[in-house]
Amino acid sequence: MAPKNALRRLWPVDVQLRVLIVVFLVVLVGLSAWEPGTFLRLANFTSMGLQISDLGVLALAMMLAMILAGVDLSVVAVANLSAVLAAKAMAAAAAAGAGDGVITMVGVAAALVAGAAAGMTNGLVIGALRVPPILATLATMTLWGGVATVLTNGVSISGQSAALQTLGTQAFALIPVPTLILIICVVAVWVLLNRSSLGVRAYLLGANSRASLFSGVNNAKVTVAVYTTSGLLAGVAGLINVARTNSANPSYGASYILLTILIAVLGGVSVTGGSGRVAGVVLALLTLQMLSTGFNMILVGTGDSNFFKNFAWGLLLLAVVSGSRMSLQRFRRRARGAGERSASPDPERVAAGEGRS
Amino acid sequence: MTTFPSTAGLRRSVRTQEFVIFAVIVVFCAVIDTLNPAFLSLSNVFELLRLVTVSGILALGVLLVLISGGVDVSFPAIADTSVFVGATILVSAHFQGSAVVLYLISLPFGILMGLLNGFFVARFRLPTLIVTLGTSSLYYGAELYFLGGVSIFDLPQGTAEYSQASLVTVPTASGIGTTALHPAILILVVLAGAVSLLLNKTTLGRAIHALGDNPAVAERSGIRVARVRYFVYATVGALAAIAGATNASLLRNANPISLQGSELAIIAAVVLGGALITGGKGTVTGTLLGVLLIGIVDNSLVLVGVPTTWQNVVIGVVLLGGTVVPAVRAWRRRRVAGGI
Repeated sequence: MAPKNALRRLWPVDVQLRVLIVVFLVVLVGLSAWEPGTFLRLANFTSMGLQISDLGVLALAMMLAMILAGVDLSVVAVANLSAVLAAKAMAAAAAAGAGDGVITMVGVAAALVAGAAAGMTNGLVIGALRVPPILATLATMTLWGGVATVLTNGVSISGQSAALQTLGTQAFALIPVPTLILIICVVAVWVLLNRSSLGVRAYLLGANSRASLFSGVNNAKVTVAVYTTSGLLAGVAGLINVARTNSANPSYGASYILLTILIAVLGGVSVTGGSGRVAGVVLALLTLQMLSTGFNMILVGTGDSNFFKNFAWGLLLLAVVSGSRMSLQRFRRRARGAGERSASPDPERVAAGEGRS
Repeated sequence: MTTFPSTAGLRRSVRTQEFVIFAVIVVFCAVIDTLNPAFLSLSNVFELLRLVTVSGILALGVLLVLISGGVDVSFPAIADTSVFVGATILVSAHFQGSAVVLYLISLPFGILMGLLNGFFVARFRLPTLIVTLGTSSLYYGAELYFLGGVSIFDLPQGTAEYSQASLVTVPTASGIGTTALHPAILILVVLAGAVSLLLNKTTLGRAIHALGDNPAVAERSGIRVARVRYFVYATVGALAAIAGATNASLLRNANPISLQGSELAIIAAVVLGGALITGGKGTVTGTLLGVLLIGIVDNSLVLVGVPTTWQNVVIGVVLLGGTVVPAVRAWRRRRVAGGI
């Protein structure tokens, strides 16, 4: 019975991944069979790769915050602010007569510094002052969104670098550059979470902040580091956006907050912190993008498919979180034995599940 | 901290969030009024009250959820969707009667959507932010996809009369035309009284506080936690439907996304009013003052010539200040106490 027990011990994490792989394949094969002429074209995959580039980086940023049992509502606002600052900095560099390479570097630096600084602000407010993440990032989201609006007067401004724009629309080995940047970010976050001590400490802090404190982890430091990384990723997403569209828009991607949470949750990141795999998030991202493309193909001419997508994403998010919670509850019940189930609440569940994110 | 006995009571009341926010409002009003005397004119005050009616009703719901230890971002979706569904039904029935019917027909849809939130929160004990983000997208998506995204302008005749109703009418500051104090403000007053009674004078109110303070303790002391949660979210749905119907009546059309994006400012207002986002604490007075402050900021920036683009910066700063200052205080207390 040993192998079976070992499997059972593994199942909460592994089943989620297996289910994801199955869903991914079903959607892939289903769409290929449904609309082979439209779906199975290189142009379609290139387009999908482009579409997931900034969303994927934002989902990674959200994932990091969620592993700490938090949430980062400000990722989209930070991405937009970074994009706006990059465009502004590039305009200033261009006005100063800099060459195209310098202009691009100035833009990249501005976006990354702005993103990291905004993320660090979140980290300090959450980690050092212990403001609940939802509230802290709600405030910074409003603030940075407002700053971006003020800087641009609420309208889209154009980027000034021909080199950056070329980069944003080019492809290497058939992979668009923004998608390559996403791949680099995926690898970087994977290394951070699985091959660095910060990653180990982040999982520990997310799973149980008290235990992490008592085992000598500087919780505030870890929080600042993780949220700074999250902000840096948001800056990268803003940069991708500027490169792709050659413009920065303060109100870009308002619906992305829900989508990033959906992707993270779908990918198996626990909303109560402490767990989540990069592989799951990537699979969820790909599946969601294919579904989105699928809805566009199938619903063409039957009203606005974006509205239907909102409906579907909401439903999917609720289904996934309640499904995973249900299997968790069943798992715990089975683990404790059915006879012990009584009126008294399960303290572990109360501690883990009762709070907000 | 050393205090003189005679001033201790005064110091305590000065330290409450309500008092602080009240002082901020007074100072803010004084400054704005010096810059533009039209600000405190009766007609602008009426306009302001009209503006805060809808957000005030929504804020009462947010207050309930926050006290119960949750957070709800789906109430704008519930407000817009319930009145949009209600108006669609009334229009297809060629109904031309009283505005009360618009309220009555929207209400069940609001309660239903609130109950669905309650179901996910109570049954699965999921984080409330995630649930309501999901349902918000679900409600708006369903409304826009299945009912279409076009505003309904031909609301029942009674609604048009209601939108022009007035308690008191005064000439505007510029002397052209008049401004009316709309009776909808009475709805806010009555609901605020009811919520205050509920929170302070009923067992259910104590149960909501207890749930927000510590759900495990609440459950162990015999409170039926799931029922309380269902009640809280259904009430938020009901309040949202009332706010939605008021909003549509005042604007004389049912816009499917009229209140979309207003959730953050309203949550901010409630938090500024002293409600703890971690649950267990909050007052109706504080909430109304918070809504008033955010309303005044919105309204006055234009009057003193600050571009509307600055609105979110100001709200963001106010919100950050309102959350960081209590956090710093708590941090100091912890340090003084020498604990963790």
